[in-house]
Amino acid sequence: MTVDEEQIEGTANEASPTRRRRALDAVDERLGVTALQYPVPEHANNLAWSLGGITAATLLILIGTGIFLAQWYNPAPEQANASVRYLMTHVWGGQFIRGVHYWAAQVMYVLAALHLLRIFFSGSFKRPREANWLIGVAMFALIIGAIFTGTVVKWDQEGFEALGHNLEISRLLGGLGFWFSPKLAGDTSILGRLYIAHIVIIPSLILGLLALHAMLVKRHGISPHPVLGDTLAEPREPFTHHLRRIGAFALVVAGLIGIAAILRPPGIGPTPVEGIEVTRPPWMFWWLFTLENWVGLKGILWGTAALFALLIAVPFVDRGPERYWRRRPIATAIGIVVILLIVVLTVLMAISTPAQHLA
Amino acid sequence: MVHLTRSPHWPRWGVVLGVLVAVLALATPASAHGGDESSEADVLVRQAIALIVNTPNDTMTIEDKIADALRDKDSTTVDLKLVAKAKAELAKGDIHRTRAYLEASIGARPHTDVGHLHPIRITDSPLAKREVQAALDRATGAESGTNVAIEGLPADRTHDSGTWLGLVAMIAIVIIGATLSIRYRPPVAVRDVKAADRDEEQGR
Repeated sequence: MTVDEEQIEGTANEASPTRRRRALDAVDERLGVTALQYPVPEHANNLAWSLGGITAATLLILIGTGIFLAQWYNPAPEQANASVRYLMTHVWGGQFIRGVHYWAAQVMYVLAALHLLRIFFSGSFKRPREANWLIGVAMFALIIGAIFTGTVVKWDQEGFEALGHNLEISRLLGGLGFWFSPKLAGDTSILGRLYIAHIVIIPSLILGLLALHAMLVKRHGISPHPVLGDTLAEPREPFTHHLRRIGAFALVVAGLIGIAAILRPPGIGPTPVEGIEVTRPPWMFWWLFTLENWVGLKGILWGTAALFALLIAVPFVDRGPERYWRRRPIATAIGIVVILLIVVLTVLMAISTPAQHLA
Repeated sequence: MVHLTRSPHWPRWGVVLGVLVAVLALATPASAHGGDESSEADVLVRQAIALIVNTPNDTMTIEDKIADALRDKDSTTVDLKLVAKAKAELAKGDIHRTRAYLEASIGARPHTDVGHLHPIRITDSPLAKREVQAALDRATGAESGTNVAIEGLPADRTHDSGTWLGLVAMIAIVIIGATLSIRYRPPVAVRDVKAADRDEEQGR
């Protein structure tokens, strides 16, 4: 290669990144993506502090697989169960995608619960982040709602009994339970309304609250580490590095969900019949059903109300400046007691047989 | 000098509370532990079949449903003779024949061939009439839309080459994700920052 040719080559190499730079600048000018590079404390990149982001990643998986499943699902009561069977047996990849949806929902529930516990034990809900805690609690309730409606829409005996419980609880609530009343739109099936809730209402609310949640994280910044506080010794990294690590964790989670969907794909239960009660609900509702076995259907209502009342009360009761869990013995003790209670009630349900409660 | 004072308002929280109490007052007591059970043979036979499908070992509950169905002597929609045969088969412990007789009693096609079984003519059966009616009246409210329960469908767990390929792809995704998460981990651990903080304080 001659000197002239080398010079031309060199000039081309220099021009290339400039063009790339210019392209990136053009995108940034219009979308403002560099705003994401604001500094965050380095502890934000730890796994425990990335749980919220990984939960959001599972939401994307659920939306993607849900769109696929919706193409074959028929929300008419006479056809719903059969349409799921058709999807499992006749649609290429149907069983796998349904398996991914099924496992991703459970992983999302676990990740959201762990994220909530991390926030609680590291005192991240404290001033000025109380509103964001409440938004997070609302999103957790919506995730439970999504799992409940998802259980019902497959329209097997398990899902139908879950719906039956909810109808009874809505009667206990009187006027407040109007949406769950089959009489609200008596000439249509409640399955159709629950399906709309599952694919439109609940995901829209979750996405709306997620946007608000993320906006408030940006507004208040990543909460300080409970031990380090706002120390200057802690290095800062761009928020994009936080997103990058969340992406890496999300890949691991997505792969594990895929493995579970291949090795343990979900089946579907028998077509539902009114008036019998023979199934157990999904495991995340077991603790409530132990309460039901003890005190009847109102146990589910009071158990749920008590848990969410406690969660809502957290930022109003635990208001001291201390964030480290060891220095908040009362809050920590209450948190541990509640967790143990839920675990014990869940185990009790696992070893008992379902009892008849529905009319 | 004008003193601006807040004019007395209606106690707004009181209004909200009042509305809430009024709404809750509309509550009707929900029944728990039992409640009204159907006495129609047709419904009870369907429930007995569903119990056989779901909990075949719970013969006591199945027996109760069959006995209750037999009490509906005036039923025009169920062949009670076949229900009685089902009861006899259950006593012998043959759950398949029990189910087949129950299915035949409401005009459904028996799930298994038990021989010597003469179900009522399907065109005369309540099931056929129901199906015709169902075509006109779809299930509404909280109706299940099911006539006769059919078994659940377990997932297909046979592993072909596609399964193994998918599994390898998923394991690769896990490995790539794990590698990247290690590569992108924070260069300074929290304990290092804590130690640096401590050193700084001691230095002062």
